[in-house]
Amino acid sequence: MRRRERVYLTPVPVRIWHWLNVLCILALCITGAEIRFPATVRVLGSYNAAVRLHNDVGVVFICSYALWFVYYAFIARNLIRLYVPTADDIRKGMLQQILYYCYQYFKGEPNPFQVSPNHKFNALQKTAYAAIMLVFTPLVTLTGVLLLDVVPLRTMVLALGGMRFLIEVHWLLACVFCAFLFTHVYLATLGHTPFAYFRPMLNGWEDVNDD
Amino acid sequence: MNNYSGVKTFLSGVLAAGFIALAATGAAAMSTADCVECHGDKSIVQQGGGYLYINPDRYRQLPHGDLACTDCHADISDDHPGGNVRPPRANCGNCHEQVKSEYAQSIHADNATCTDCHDPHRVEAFGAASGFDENRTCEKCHDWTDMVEIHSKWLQQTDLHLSSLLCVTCHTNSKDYIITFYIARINRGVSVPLRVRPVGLKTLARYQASVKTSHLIDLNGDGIISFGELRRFIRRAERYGLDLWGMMTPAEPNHSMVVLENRKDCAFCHTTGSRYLQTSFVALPDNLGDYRRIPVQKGAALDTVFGTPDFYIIGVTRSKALSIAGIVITTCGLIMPVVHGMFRIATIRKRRRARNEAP
Repeated sequence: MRRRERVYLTPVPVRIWHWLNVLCILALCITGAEIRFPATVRVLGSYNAAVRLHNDVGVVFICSYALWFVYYAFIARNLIRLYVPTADDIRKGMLQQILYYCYQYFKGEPNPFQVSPNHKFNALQKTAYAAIMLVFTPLVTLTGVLLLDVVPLRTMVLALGGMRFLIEVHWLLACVFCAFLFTHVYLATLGHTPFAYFRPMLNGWEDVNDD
Repeated sequence: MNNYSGVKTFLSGVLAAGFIALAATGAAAMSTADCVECHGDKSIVQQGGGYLYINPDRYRQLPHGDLACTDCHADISDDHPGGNVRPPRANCGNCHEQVKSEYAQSIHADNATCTDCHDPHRVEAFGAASGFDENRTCEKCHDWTDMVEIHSKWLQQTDLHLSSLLCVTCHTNSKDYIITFYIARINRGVSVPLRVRPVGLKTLARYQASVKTSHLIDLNGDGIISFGELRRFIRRAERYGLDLWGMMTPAEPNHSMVVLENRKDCAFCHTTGSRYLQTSFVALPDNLGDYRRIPVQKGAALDTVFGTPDFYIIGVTRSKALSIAGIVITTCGLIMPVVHGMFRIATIRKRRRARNEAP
Protein backbone atom coordinates (compact mmCIF):
# COMPACT_ATOMS: atom_id res chain seq x y z
CA MET A 1 0.00 0.00 0.00
CA ARG A 2 1.42 3.40 -1.00
CA ARG A 3 1.85 6.04 1.71
CA ARG A 4 0.37 9.43 1.08
CA GLU A 5 1.60 12.86 2.03
CA ARG A 6 -0.40 16.09 2.14
CA VAL A 7 0.84 18.97 -0.02
CA TYR A 8 -0.52 22.54 0.03
CA LEU A 9 -1.23 22.92 -3.66
CA THR A 10 -3.90 25.54 -4.25
CA PRO A 11 -3.63 28.94 -2.55
CA VAL A 12 -6.75 30.91 -1.57
CA PRO A 13 -6.79 33.36 -4.54
CA VAL A 14 -6.65 30.44 -6.98
CA ARG A 15 -9.49 28.67 -5.21
CA ILE A 16 -11.64 31.81 -5.19
CA TRP A 17 -10.92 32.30 -8.88
CA HIS A 18 -11.66 28.66 -9.67
CA TRP A 19 -15.10 28.52 -8.02
CA LEU A 20 -16.05 31.94 -9.29
CA ASN A 21 -15.11 30.66 -12.72
CA VAL A 22 -17.22 27.53 -12.24
CA LEU A 23 -20.30 29.62 -11.45
CA CYS A 24 -19.58 32.01 -14.32
CA ILE A 25 -19.03 29.31 -16.94
CA LEU A 26 -22.14 27.39 -15.87
CA ALA A 27 -24.26 30.56 -16.01
CA LEU A 28 -22.70 31.61 -19.32
CA CYS A 29 -23.30 28.18 -20.88
CA ILE A 30 -26.94 28.03 -19.78
CA THR A 31 -27.81 31.64 -20.68
CA GLY A 32 -25.76 31.36 -23.88
CA ALA A 33 -27.75 28.31 -24.96
CA GLU A 34 -30.98 30.19 -24.24
CA ILE A 35 -29.81 33.19 -26.25
CA ARG A 36 -28.78 30.98 -29.18
CA PHE A 37 -31.84 28.72 -29.12
CA PRO A 38 -34.61 30.78 -27.49
CA ALA A 39 -37.39 28.57 -28.80
CA THR A 40 -35.80 25.38 -27.44
CA VAL A 41 -33.87 26.32 -24.30
CA ARG A 42 -36.01 28.12 -21.72
CA VAL A 43 -34.33 28.18 -18.35
CA LEU A 44 -34.77 31.77 -17.22
CA GLY A 45 -38.09 32.19 -18.98
CA SER A 46 -37.38 35.69 -20.21
CA TYR A 47 -35.07 36.36 -23.12
CA ASN A 48 -34.25 39.79 -21.75
CA ALA A 49 -33.20 38.21 -18.41
CA ALA A 50 -31.04 35.66 -20.23
CA VAL A 51 -29.23 38.37 -22.21
CA ARG A 52 -28.80 40.60 -19.16
CA LEU A 53 -27.49 37.76 -16.99
CA HIS A 54 -25.17 36.58 -19.80
CA ASN A 55 -23.74 40.10 -20.14
CA ASP A 56 -23.37 40.68 -16.40
CA VAL A 57 -21.83 37.28 -15.73
CA GLY A 58 -19.56 37.85 -18.73
CA VAL A 59 -18.17 40.94 -17.00
CA VAL A 60 -17.63 38.97 -13.76
CA PHE A 61 -15.90 36.25 -15.84
CA ILE A 62 -13.53 38.84 -17.28
CA CYS A 63 -12.74 40.16 -13.79
CA SER A 64 -12.17 36.60 -12.61
CA TYR A 65 -9.81 35.97 -15.55
CA ALA A 66 -7.96 39.20 -14.71
CA LEU A 67 -7.60 38.00 -11.10
CA TRP A 68 -6.15 34.69 -12.31
CA PHE A 69 -3.78 36.33 -14.77
CA VAL A 70 -2.53 38.97 -12.34
CA TYR A 71 -2.01 36.38 -9.60
CA TYR A 72 0.00 33.95 -11.71
CA ALA A 73 1.80 36.43 -13.94
CA PHE A 74 2.70 39.14 -11.42
CA ILE A 75 2.29 37.82 -7.87
CA ALA A 76 3.19 34.11 -7.99
CA ARG A 77 5.23 34.70 -11.19
CA ASN A 78 4.93 31.08 -12.27
CA LEU A 79 2.38 31.40 -15.10
CA ILE A 80 4.76 30.13 -17.78
CA ARG A 81 6.29 27.38 -15.65
CA LEU A 82 2.90 26.05 -14.58
CA TYR A 83 0.88 26.48 -17.74
CA VAL A 84 3.14 26.49 -20.79
CA PRO A 85 4.27 22.98 -21.82
CA THR A 86 8.00 22.51 -22.27
CA ALA A 87 9.59 20.80 -25.27
CA ASP A 88 10.03 17.73 -23.06
CA ASP A 89 6.33 17.83 -22.15
CA ILE A 90 5.38 17.83 -25.83
CA ARG A 91 7.96 15.21 -26.85
CA LYS A 92 7.50 12.72 -24.01
CA GLY A 93 5.09 13.90 -21.35
CA MET A 94 1.97 14.08 -23.48
CA LEU A 95 2.44 10.61 -24.92
CA GLN A 96 3.17 9.25 -21.45
CA GLN A 97 -0.06 10.77 -20.05
CA ILE A 98 -2.17 9.60 -22.99
CA LEU A 99 -0.78 6.10 -22.48
CA TYR A 100 -1.60 6.32 -18.78
CA TYR A 101 -5.20 7.53 -19.21
CA CYS A 102 -6.00 5.19 -22.08
CA TYR A 103 -4.23 2.01 -20.89
CA GLN A 104 -2.18 2.01 -17.68
CA TYR A 105 -5.01 3.53 -15.63
CA PHE A 106 -7.26 0.56 -16.37
CA LYS A 107 -4.51 -1.81 -15.22
CA GLY A 108 -4.37 0.01 -11.90
CA GLU A 109 -0.86 1.35 -12.52
CA PRO A 110 0.16 4.59 -10.79
CA ASN A 111 0.04 7.98 -12.53
CA PRO A 112 3.53 8.64 -13.96
CA PHE A 113 3.15 12.32 -13.06
CA GLN A 114 3.81 13.35 -9.48
CA VAL A 115 2.20 16.60 -8.44
CA SER A 116 4.10 19.29 -6.47
CA PRO A 117 3.40 22.99 -5.80
CA ASN A 118 5.81 23.92 -8.59
CA HIS A 119 4.57 21.24 -11.00
CA LYS A 120 0.84 21.14 -10.50
CA PHE A 121 -0.13 19.96 -13.95
CA ASN A 122 0.95 17.06 -16.11
CA ALA A 123 1.89 17.62 -19.76
CA LEU A 124 -1.66 17.01 -21.01
CA GLN A 125 -3.18 19.32 -18.42
CA LYS A 126 -0.62 22.02 -19.21
CA THR A 127 -1.41 21.86 -22.91
CA ALA A 128 -5.17 21.91 -22.35
CA TYR A 129 -5.02 24.71 -19.76
CA ALA A 130 -2.63 26.76 -21.88
CA ALA A 131 -5.02 26.47 -24.84
CA ILE A 132 -8.06 27.29 -22.70
CA MET A 133 -6.58 30.03 -20.54
CA LEU A 134 -4.16 31.68 -22.92
CA VAL A 135 -5.95 31.25 -26.28
CA PHE A 136 -9.65 30.42 -25.98
CA THR A 137 -10.48 32.57 -22.95
CA PRO A 138 -8.95 35.76 -24.41
CA LEU A 139 -10.73 35.08 -27.72
CA VAL A 140 -14.14 34.33 -26.20
CA THR A 141 -13.69 37.37 -23.95
CA LEU A 142 -12.75 39.65 -26.83
CA THR A 143 -15.69 38.57 -29.00
CA GLY A 144 -18.00 38.81 -25.98
CA VAL A 145 -16.85 42.34 -25.10
CA LEU A 146 -17.35 43.49 -28.67
CA LEU A 147 -20.91 42.13 -28.64
CA LEU A 148 -21.69 43.59 -25.22
CA ASP A 149 -22.63 46.94 -26.73
CA VAL A 150 -22.15 46.98 -30.46
CA VAL A 151 -22.58 50.65 -31.27
CA PRO A 152 -19.68 52.24 -29.34
CA LEU A 153 -17.38 49.43 -30.49
CA ARG A 154 -18.76 49.34 -34.02
CA THR A 155 -15.46 50.24 -35.69
CA MET A 156 -13.80 47.19 -34.21
CA VAL A 157 -16.85 44.98 -34.79
CA LEU A 158 -16.83 45.83 -38.49
CA ALA A 159 -13.04 45.59 -38.77
CA LEU A 160 -13.19 42.06 -37.36
CA GLY A 161 -15.83 40.89 -39.82
CA GLY A 162 -19.13 42.19 -38.47
CA MET A 163 -21.65 41.05 -35.91
CA ARG A 164 -22.56 37.80 -37.54
CA PHE A 165 -18.95 36.62 -37.82
CA LEU A 166 -18.19 37.56 -34.22
CA ILE A 167 -21.34 35.91 -32.89
CA GLU A 168 -20.57 32.65 -34.69
CA VAL A 169 -16.93 32.68 -33.49
CA HIS A 170 -18.15 33.42 -29.95
CA TRP A 171 -20.58 30.49 -30.20
CA LEU A 172 -17.96 28.01 -31.43
CA LEU A 173 -15.46 29.09 -28.76
CA ALA A 174 -18.16 28.73 -26.11
CA CYS A 175 -18.82 25.19 -27.36
CA VAL A 176 -15.11 24.40 -26.98
CA PHE A 177 -15.37 25.64 -23.39
CA CYS A 178 -18.40 23.46 -22.81
CA ALA A 179 -16.64 20.40 -24.25
CA PHE A 180 -13.58 21.12 -22.09
CA LEU A 181 -15.80 21.44 -19.03
CA PHE A 182 -17.15 17.88 -19.37
CA THR A 183 -13.68 16.38 -19.84
CA HIS A 184 -12.18 18.56 -17.10
CA VAL A 185 -14.77 17.53 -14.50
CA TYR A 186 -14.46 13.86 -15.47
CA LEU A 187 -10.64 13.85 -15.28
CA ALA A 188 -10.93 15.43 -11.84
CA THR A 189 -12.52 12.20 -10.64
CA LEU A 190 -9.51 10.08 -11.64
CA GLY A 191 -7.59 10.55 -8.38
CA HIS A 192 -7.02 7.78 -5.84
CA THR A 193 -10.62 8.44 -4.79
CA PRO A 194 -13.23 10.10 -7.03
CA PHE A 195 -13.08 13.29 -4.93
CA ALA A 196 -9.33 13.36 -4.27
CA TYR A 197 -8.71 16.05 -6.86
CA PHE A 198 -11.69 18.13 -5.75
CA ARG A 199 -10.35 18.51 -2.21
CA PRO A 200 -7.42 20.82 -3.08
CA MET A 201 -9.92 23.14 -4.74
CA LEU A 202 -11.85 23.30 -1.44
CA ASN A 203 -9.15 23.37 1.26
CA GLY A 204 -5.96 23.74 -0.78
CA TRP A 205 -4.40 20.40 0.30
CA GLU A 206 -3.86 17.34 -1.88
CA ASP A 207 -2.74 13.83 -0.93
CA VAL A 208 0.23 12.73 -3.03
CA ASN A 209 2.14 9.43 -3.13
CA ASP A 210 5.09 9.43 -0.81
CA ASP A 211 7.51 7.69 -3.15
CA MET B 1 -45.28 88.11 -41.45
CA ASN B 2 -43.57 89.98 -44.27
CA ASN B 3 -43.29 86.81 -46.23
CA TYR B 4 -46.97 86.11 -45.80
CA SER B 5 -47.79 89.63 -47.02
CA GLY B 6 -45.68 89.01 -50.08
CA VAL B 7 -47.56 85.83 -50.80
CA LYS B 8 -50.84 87.64 -50.19
CA THR B 9 -49.93 90.36 -52.65
CA PHE B 10 -48.84 87.78 -55.17
CA LEU B 11 -51.96 85.68 -54.78
CA SER B 12 -54.17 88.78 -54.88
CA GLY B 13 -52.57 89.67 -58.18
CA VAL B 14 -53.12 86.17 -59.44
CA LEU B 15 -56.70 86.29 -58.15
CA ALA B 16 -57.37 89.51 -59.99
CA ALA B 17 -55.99 87.96 -63.16
CA GLY B 18 -58.13 84.90 -62.47
CA PHE B 19 -61.25 86.96 -62.08
CA ILE B 20 -60.62 88.69 -65.37
CA ALA B 21 -60.09 85.32 -67.02
CA LEU B 22 -63.22 83.87 -65.43
CA ALA B 23 -65.27 86.87 -66.44
CA ALA B 24 -64.02 86.51 -69.97
CA THR B 25 -64.82 82.80 -70.21
CA GLY B 26 -67.91 82.83 -68.03
CA ALA B 27 -66.57 79.80 -66.06
CA ALA B 28 -68.00 79.32 -62.54
CA ALA B 29 -66.32 76.38 -60.68
CA MET B 30 -62.64 76.26 -59.79
CA SER B 31 -60.80 73.49 -61.59
CA THR B 32 -57.53 71.72 -60.72
CA ALA B 33 -55.90 73.60 -63.57
CA ASP B 34 -56.91 76.85 -61.90
CA CYS B 35 -55.37 75.74 -58.61
CA VAL B 36 -52.20 74.53 -60.26
CA GLU B 37 -51.80 77.81 -62.04
CA CYS B 38 -50.91 79.42 -58.72
CA HIS B 39 -49.99 76.53 -56.44
CA GLY B 40 -47.87 74.87 -59.09
CA ASP B 41 -45.88 78.02 -59.69
CA LYS B 42 -42.47 77.74 -58.04
CA SER B 43 -42.22 81.48 -57.62
CA ILE B 44 -44.47 81.08 -54.55
CA VAL B 45 -41.55 79.43 -52.82
CA GLN B 46 -39.25 82.37 -53.48
CA GLN B 47 -41.89 84.63 -51.99
CA GLY B 48 -41.96 82.63 -48.76
CA GLY B 49 -45.01 80.51 -49.53
CA GLY B 50 -43.25 77.21 -49.76
CA TYR B 51 -46.07 75.50 -47.86
CA LEU B 52 -48.49 76.54 -50.64
CA TYR B 53 -46.40 75.06 -53.44
CA ILE B 54 -47.44 71.74 -54.93
CA ASN B 55 -45.25 70.12 -57.56
CA PRO B 56 -47.88 69.11 -60.13
CA ASP B 57 -45.68 66.48 -61.84
CA ARG B 58 -44.88 64.78 -58.58
CA TYR B 59 -48.38 65.12 -57.21
CA ARG B 60 -49.84 63.32 -60.22
CA GLN B 61 -47.70 60.27 -59.43
CA LEU B 62 -48.65 60.11 -55.76
CA PRO B 63 -51.54 57.98 -54.46
CA HIS B 64 -53.67 61.14 -54.23
CA GLY B 65 -52.70 62.14 -57.75
CA ASP B 66 -56.00 61.07 -59.28
CA LEU B 67 -57.97 63.39 -57.03
CA ALA B 68 -59.04 66.84 -58.13
CA CYS B 69 -58.26 69.66 -55.69
CA THR B 70 -61.98 70.20 -55.07
CA ASP B 71 -62.42 66.53 -54.13
CA CYS B 72 -60.85 67.40 -50.81
CA HIS B 73 -61.32 71.18 -50.72
CA ALA B 74 -64.96 70.97 -51.79
CA ASP B 75 -66.09 74.11 -50.05
CA ILE B 76 -63.52 76.33 -51.63
CA SER B 77 -65.00 79.57 -52.83
CA ASP B 78 -64.65 80.74 -56.39
CA ASP B 79 -63.36 83.91 -54.78
CA HIS B 80 -60.27 82.09 -53.49
CA PRO B 81 -57.77 83.48 -52.73
CA GLY B 82 -59.79 86.67 -52.44
CA GLY B 83 -61.05 87.91 -49.12
CA ASN B 84 -57.98 86.56 -47.37
CA VAL B 85 -60.01 83.52 -46.28
CA ARG B 86 -58.14 80.28 -46.00
CA PRO B 87 -59.88 77.38 -47.73
CA PRO B 88 -61.37 74.80 -45.39
CA ARG B 89 -59.04 71.95 -44.49
CA ALA B 90 -59.67 68.63 -46.13
CA ASN B 91 -61.37 66.01 -44.02
CA CYS B 92 -59.26 62.90 -44.54
CA GLY B 93 -61.91 60.80 -42.81
CA ASN B 94 -64.26 61.34 -45.74
CA CYS B 95 -62.28 58.75 -47.69
CA HIS B 96 -60.19 57.09 -44.99
CA GLU B 97 -63.08 56.26 -42.70
CA GLN B 98 -61.59 53.06 -41.28
CA VAL B 99 -58.25 54.71 -40.63
CA LYS B 100 -60.01 57.62 -38.95
CA SER B 101 -61.96 55.43 -36.55
CA GLU B 102 -58.90 53.29 -35.80
CA TYR B 103 -56.76 56.36 -35.18
CA ALA B 104 -59.47 58.00 -33.05
CA GLN B 105 -59.05 55.19 -30.51
CA SER B 106 -55.28 55.54 -30.36
CA ILE B 107 -53.22 57.41 -27.78
CA HIS B 108 -52.12 59.70 -30.61
CA ALA B 109 -55.59 60.95 -31.49
CA ASP B 110 -55.64 63.85 -29.05
CA ASN B 111 -52.14 64.96 -29.91
CA ALA B 112 -51.79 64.97 -33.69
CA THR B 113 -54.08 65.31 -36.68
CA CYS B 114 -53.58 63.45 -39.95
CA THR B 115 -51.69 66.35 -41.50
CA ASP B 116 -49.30 66.64 -38.57
CA CYS B 117 -47.75 63.40 -39.77
CA HIS B 118 -48.77 63.24 -43.44
CA ASP B 119 -48.55 66.12 -45.90
CA PRO B 120 -51.68 65.39 -47.98
CA HIS B 121 -50.03 66.88 -51.07
CA ARG B 122 -46.96 64.71 -50.70
CA VAL B 123 -48.46 61.66 -49.05
CA GLU B 124 -46.88 58.47 -50.28
CA ALA B 125 -47.82 54.86 -50.04
CA PHE B 126 -46.13 53.06 -47.16
CA GLY B 127 -42.82 51.77 -48.42
CA ALA B 128 -42.16 54.71 -50.71
CA ALA B 129 -39.63 55.95 -48.18
CA SER B 130 -36.59 54.39 -46.58
CA GLY B 131 -37.07 53.09 -43.06
CA PHE B 132 -34.92 55.97 -41.87
CA ASP B 133 -37.28 58.50 -43.47
CA GLU B 134 -40.37 56.69 -42.17
CA ASN B 135 -39.02 57.19 -38.65
CA ARG B 136 -38.28 60.85 -39.39
CA THR B 137 -42.05 61.40 -39.51
CA CYS B 138 -42.29 60.30 -35.88
CA GLU B 139 -39.26 62.40 -34.99
CA LYS B 140 -41.22 65.56 -35.79
CA CYS B 141 -42.56 65.20 -32.25
CA HIS B 142 -40.54 62.38 -30.69
CA ASP B 143 -36.95 63.51 -30.40
CA TRP B 144 -34.56 60.68 -31.26
CA THR B 145 -32.28 61.17 -28.24
CA ASP B 146 -35.28 61.25 -25.89
CA MET B 147 -36.62 58.08 -27.46
CA VAL B 148 -33.28 56.30 -27.01
CA GLU B 149 -33.29 57.32 -23.35
CA ILE B 150 -36.90 56.26 -22.75
CA HIS B 151 -36.50 52.89 -24.45
CA SER B 152 -33.16 52.21 -22.76
CA LYS B 153 -35.06 51.59 -19.49
CA TRP B 154 -35.93 48.15 -20.75
CA LEU B 155 -34.36 47.73 -24.20
CA GLN B 156 -30.71 46.72 -24.37
CA GLN B 157 -28.41 48.21 -27.03
CA THR B 158 -31.17 50.75 -27.55
CA ASP B 159 -29.86 52.85 -30.42
CA LEU B 160 -28.94 49.73 -32.38
CA HIS B 161 -32.50 48.44 -31.93
CA LEU B 162 -34.14 51.77 -32.76
CA SER B 163 -31.99 52.07 -35.88
CA SER B 164 -33.10 48.64 -37.03
CA LEU B 165 -36.82 49.01 -36.40
CA LEU B 166 -39.50 51.32 -37.65
CA CYS B 167 -41.35 52.99 -34.79
CA VAL B 168 -44.56 51.48 -36.19
CA THR B 169 -43.03 48.00 -36.08
CA CYS B 170 -43.67 47.96 -32.34
CA HIS B 171 -46.27 50.70 -32.02
CA THR B 172 -48.89 49.23 -34.33
CA ASN B 173 -50.37 45.78 -34.05
CA SER B 174 -49.27 44.55 -37.46
CA LYS B 175 -49.88 40.88 -38.09
CA ASP B 176 -46.82 40.27 -40.19
CA TYR B 177 -43.36 41.73 -40.62
CA ILE B 178 -40.85 42.01 -43.43
CA ILE B 179 -37.27 43.18 -43.84
CA THR B 180 -36.57 46.32 -45.84
CA PHE B 181 -33.05 47.24 -46.80
CA TYR B 182 -31.83 50.61 -47.92
CA ILE B 183 -28.44 51.66 -49.16
CA ALA B 184 -26.39 53.66 -46.68
CA ARG B 185 -22.92 55.04 -46.79
CA ILE B 186 -20.53 52.88 -44.80
CA ASN B 187 -19.79 54.58 -41.55
CA ARG B 188 -16.91 52.78 -39.95
CA GLY B 189 -16.61 55.44 -37.30
CA VAL B 190 -18.24 55.44 -33.91
CA SER B 191 -21.31 57.60 -33.56
CA VAL B 192 -23.49 57.32 -30.50
CA PRO B 193 -26.43 57.19 -30.79
CA LEU B 194 -26.24 55.28 -34.04
CA ARG B 195 -27.95 56.88 -37.06
CA VAL B 196 -27.74 55.20 -40.43
CA ARG B 197 -28.76 57.67 -43.12
CA PRO B 198 -29.71 56.45 -46.59
CA VAL B 199 -27.76 57.74 -49.57
CA GLY B 200 -29.67 59.79 -52.10
CA LEU B 201 -30.13 59.40 -55.81
CA LYS B 202 -27.25 61.74 -56.64
CA THR B 203 -24.78 59.56 -54.75
CA LEU B 204 -26.11 56.38 -56.33
CA ALA B 205 -26.05 57.94 -59.79
CA ARG B 206 -22.29 58.29 -59.44
CA TYR B 207 -22.03 54.53 -59.45
CA GLN B 208 -24.76 53.76 -61.93
CA ALA B 209 -25.09 56.84 -64.09
CA SER B 210 -25.85 55.17 -67.41
CA VAL B 211 -28.75 52.93 -66.44
CA LYS B 212 -31.54 52.86 -63.88
CA THR B 213 -30.43 52.99 -60.26
CA SER B 214 -32.29 49.79 -59.53
CA HIS B 215 -29.82 47.97 -61.80
CA LEU B 216 -27.17 48.67 -59.19
CA ILE B 217 -28.62 45.66 -57.35
CA ASP B 218 -31.13 44.11 -59.71
CA LEU B 219 -28.41 43.33 -62.24
CA ASN B 220 -30.60 41.58 -64.82
CA GLY B 221 -33.39 44.14 -64.45
CA ASP B 222 -36.11 41.52 -63.98
CA GLY B 223 -37.67 43.43 -61.08
CA ILE B 224 -36.69 40.83 -58.48
CA ILE B 225 -33.42 40.82 -56.58
CA SER B 226 -32.10 37.31 -56.26
CA PHE B 227 -29.91 36.26 -53.32
CA GLY B 228 -27.04 36.03 -55.81
CA GLU B 229 -27.57 39.63 -56.92
CA LEU B 230 -27.82 40.74 -53.31
CA ARG B 231 -24.56 38.96 -52.47
CA ARG B 232 -22.81 40.50 -55.49
CA PHE B 233 -24.03 43.96 -54.53
CA ILE B 234 -22.80 43.58 -50.95
CA ARG B 235 -19.39 42.46 -52.24
CA ARG B 236 -19.18 45.42 -54.63
CA ALA B 237 -20.75 47.90 -52.21
CA GLU B 238 -17.72 48.14 -49.99
CA ARG B 239 -15.69 49.31 -52.98
CA TYR B 240 -18.23 52.08 -53.47
CA GLY B 241 -18.21 52.93 -49.76
CA LEU B 242 -21.82 51.73 -49.51
CA ASP B 243 -23.57 49.23 -47.33
CA LEU B 244 -27.04 47.70 -46.95
CA TRP B 245 -28.95 48.51 -43.79
CA GLY B 246 -31.85 46.26 -42.92
CA MET B 247 -34.89 47.23 -40.86
CA MET B 248 -37.72 45.11 -39.50
CA THR B 249 -40.87 46.62 -40.94
CA PRO B 250 -44.58 45.90 -40.51
CA ALA B 251 -45.96 44.28 -43.66
CA GLU B 252 -49.19 46.27 -43.41
CA PRO B 253 -48.89 49.11 -40.94
CA ASN B 254 -52.00 50.60 -39.45
CA HIS B 255 -52.88 53.60 -37.35
CA SER B 256 -53.53 51.85 -34.04
CA MET B 257 -50.50 53.64 -32.47
CA VAL B 258 -50.36 51.57 -29.33
CA VAL B 259 -47.83 50.71 -26.67
CA LEU B 260 -47.83 46.93 -26.91
CA GLU B 261 -46.49 45.31 -23.77
CA ASN B 262 -45.71 42.06 -25.60
CA ARG B 263 -43.13 43.93 -27.70
CA LYS B 264 -41.16 44.43 -24.49
CA ASP B 265 -40.79 40.66 -24.40
CA CYS B 266 -37.62 40.24 -26.45
CA ALA B 267 -38.81 36.78 -27.45
CA PHE B 268 -41.41 38.42 -29.69
CA CYS B 269 -38.72 39.15 -32.27
CA HIS B 270 -35.84 37.03 -31.05
CA THR B 271 -37.77 33.78 -30.89
CA THR B 272 -40.56 34.04 -33.37
CA GLY B 273 -38.86 36.53 -35.66
CA SER B 274 -37.66 33.94 -38.13
CA ARG B 275 -41.07 33.54 -39.69
CA TYR B 276 -41.08 37.26 -40.45
CA LEU B 277 -37.81 37.15 -42.33
CA GLN B 278 -39.10 35.38 -45.39
CA THR B 279 -40.07 38.53 -47.27
CA SER B 280 -37.57 41.29 -47.97
CA PHE B 281 -37.35 44.39 -50.11
CA VAL B 282 -34.64 46.83 -51.08
CA ALA B 283 -35.88 50.43 -51.07
CA LEU B 284 -34.07 52.53 -53.67
CA PRO B 285 -34.50 56.28 -54.23
CA ASP B 286 -36.22 57.37 -57.44
CA ASN B 287 -36.03 60.61 -59.36
CA LEU B 288 -39.12 62.00 -57.60
CA GLY B 289 -37.41 61.93 -54.25
CA ASP B 290 -39.39 58.89 -53.14
CA TYR B 291 -38.29 55.33 -52.73
CA ARG B 292 -39.32 52.31 -54.73
CA ARG B 293 -39.27 48.91 -53.15
CA ILE B 294 -37.79 46.12 -55.21
CA PRO B 295 -38.74 42.67 -53.91
CA VAL B 296 -35.99 40.27 -52.95
CA GLN B 297 -36.34 36.60 -53.84
CA LYS B 298 -38.62 34.85 -51.32
CA GLY B 299 -36.83 33.26 -48.39
CA ALA B 300 -34.67 34.28 -45.49
CA ALA B 301 -32.45 36.85 -47.21
CA LEU B 302 -30.56 37.57 -44.00
CA ASP B 303 -29.66 33.92 -43.55
CA THR B 304 -28.46 33.72 -47.12
CA VAL B 305 -26.58 36.97 -47.20
CA PHE B 306 -23.68 36.57 -44.83
CA GLY B 307 -22.23 39.92 -45.74
CA THR B 308 -24.60 42.27 -43.90
CA PRO B 309 -22.07 42.99 -41.17
CA ASP B 310 -24.40 45.17 -39.12
CA PHE B 311 -27.68 43.31 -39.20
CA TYR B 312 -28.12 40.33 -36.95
CA ILE B 313 -31.07 39.24 -34.84
CA ILE B 314 -29.71 37.03 -32.09
CA GLY B 315 -31.72 33.89 -31.67
CA VAL B 316 -32.99 34.16 -35.24
CA THR B 317 -30.30 34.73 -37.84
CA ARG B 318 -27.93 32.07 -36.52
CA SER B 319 -26.13 29.83 -38.99
CA LYS B 320 -27.65 26.34 -38.95
CA ALA B 321 -24.40 24.71 -40.03
CA LEU B 322 -22.39 26.40 -37.29
CA SER B 323 -25.09 25.60 -34.72
CA ILE B 324 -24.68 21.93 -35.60
CA ALA B 325 -20.88 22.26 -35.56
CA GLY B 326 -21.08 23.75 -32.06
CA ILE B 327 -23.33 20.98 -30.81
CA VAL B 328 -20.92 18.39 -32.28
CA ILE B 329 -17.96 20.06 -30.50
CA THR B 330 -19.89 20.06 -27.21
CA THR B 331 -20.90 16.42 -27.67
CA CYS B 332 -17.28 15.45 -28.37
CA GLY B 333 -16.51 16.72 -24.87
CA LEU B 334 -18.96 14.14 -23.54
CA ILE B 335 -17.61 11.22 -25.57
CA MET B 336 -14.34 10.95 -23.68
CA PRO B 337 -15.94 10.83 -20.18
CA VAL B 338 -18.60 8.37 -21.33
CA VAL B 339 -16.22 5.94 -23.10
CA HIS B 340 -13.48 6.22 -20.45
CA GLY B 341 -16.08 5.90 -17.69
CA MET B 342 -17.40 2.66 -19.18
CA PHE B 343 -13.91 1.12 -19.26
CA ARG B 344 -13.35 2.45 -15.76
CA ILE B 345 -16.43 0.67 -14.42
CA ALA B 346 -15.46 -2.51 -16.26
CA THR B 347 -11.97 -2.50 -14.66
CA ILE B 348 -12.87 -1.57 -11.08
CA ARG B 349 -11.88 -4.94 -9.59
CA LYS B 350 -8.70 -5.22 -11.58
CA ARG B 351 -7.57 -1.74 -10.50
CA ARG B 352 -8.44 -2.36 -6.86
CA ARG B 353 -6.47 -5.60 -6.89
CA ALA B 354 -3.48 -3.91 -8.51
CA ARG B 355 -3.57 -1.12 -5.92
CA ASN B 356 -3.69 -3.59 -3.02
CA GLU B 357 -0.81 -5.58 -4.43
CA ALA B 358 1.35 -2.51 -4.93
CA PRO B 359 4.41 -2.36 -2.59
